Amino acid sequence: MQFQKFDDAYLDSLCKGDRRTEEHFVQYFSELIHLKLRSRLNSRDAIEDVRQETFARIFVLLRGKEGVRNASALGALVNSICNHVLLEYYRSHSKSEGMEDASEIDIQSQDTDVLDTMVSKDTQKTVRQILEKLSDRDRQLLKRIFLEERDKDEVCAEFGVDREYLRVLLHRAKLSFKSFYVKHMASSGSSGSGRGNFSRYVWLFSALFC
Amino acid sequence: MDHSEVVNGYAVEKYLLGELGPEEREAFEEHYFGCEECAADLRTATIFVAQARKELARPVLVVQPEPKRKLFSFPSLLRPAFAVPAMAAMLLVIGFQNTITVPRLEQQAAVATQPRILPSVTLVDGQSRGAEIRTVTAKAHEPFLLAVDIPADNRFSGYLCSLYSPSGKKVWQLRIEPSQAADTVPIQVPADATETGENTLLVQGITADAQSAPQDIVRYRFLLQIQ
Repeated sequence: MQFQKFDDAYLDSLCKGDRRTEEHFVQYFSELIHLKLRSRLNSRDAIEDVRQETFARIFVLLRGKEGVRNASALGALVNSICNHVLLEYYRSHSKSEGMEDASEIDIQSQDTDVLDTMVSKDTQKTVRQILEKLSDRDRQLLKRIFLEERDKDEVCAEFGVDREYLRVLLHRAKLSFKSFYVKHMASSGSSGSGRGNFSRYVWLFSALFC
Repeated sequence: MDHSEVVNGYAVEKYLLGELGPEEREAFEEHYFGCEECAADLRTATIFVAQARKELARPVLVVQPEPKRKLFSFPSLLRPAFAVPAMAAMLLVIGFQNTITVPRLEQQAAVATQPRILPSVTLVDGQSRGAEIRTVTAKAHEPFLLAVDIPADNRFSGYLCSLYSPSGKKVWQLRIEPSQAADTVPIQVPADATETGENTLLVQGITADAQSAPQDIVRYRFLLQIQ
């Protein structure tokens, strides 16, 4: 997804209800809200409820009398409102677990079915190649952590590495994937209409993580 | 949390691995909501982890390097294409050995253990140019005897007997000690060692001086006939 600078012009268009700017705003921050909420809410419906309520409040604020003056703080504003909505959600649903109890982002297993049909062959191939380039030990390490979801300290002890090693391993894999991903998204953007690819990308992301 | 803290502290990785404390997580979320680069980083890493889970779940993720092909493997020896001709060749060899080779060896062994009379020729007076050429008639593939008279001489520490075929090729050479040369020396010529025709037995004396060449003493000629 193309990032647009959150400057005064962007904020002005948003406040005036420019449709394309609103679409971009919603889609861009929807992704981030989903990433944030996945570790805090187990239900897709709950995530969607919080997301919608967050945007509803933001648009009320944007179109209110006072409005929003600092364009560069739009992201912080969205995050802040999302936190408030989430807290209200917890209270209204008498959740015993707080935000502090949440674990890492958890891609639910049912998402793999979605991945089957949604993730491009190139993405699958690239991830496979990245994993194949890893040593067998590193592959097993990632498998224990992400697939078997075993305790990280136990796994690190089993493989004779520390948590820093795990972070660096993930970091390097991420960088390898990112170089492909950026090119892939750029070529997708240039090969077809921007709007079509944008919608497809948002749909893909939502299917994966919503 | 500023951008450098996020990058240098592997905040994206820690976030995905659940290693951030509540406050750090809040700070990181506040940051990536306003930072394009970190948001893209997190998005990319999340997609990678999701797809990696799927790939890691596959039974065989990595294609193992193809093992070096052996010249042959044991199971391949059992394939009919190889096994049948090999068995046939083996049966032929076994049949040949049982019908030809083994009986012949048994016959030869039986002959060797039995007393018998060998054809012989006595080689004396070799220095006489007009001496008659002796004839020996041997059976095919059987040895014969040469009874050789070696003229003894004190100058020599030993003697060499060399057999030359009719074509002039040296067939064999035998060293004889002075004590053996006192009497007529019987020499068994192996079967098929030489050819029919006029063969020559050269007797040479070996001096004590190792560097000097053997001296010719006598040259016997005999006619070999094969039945």
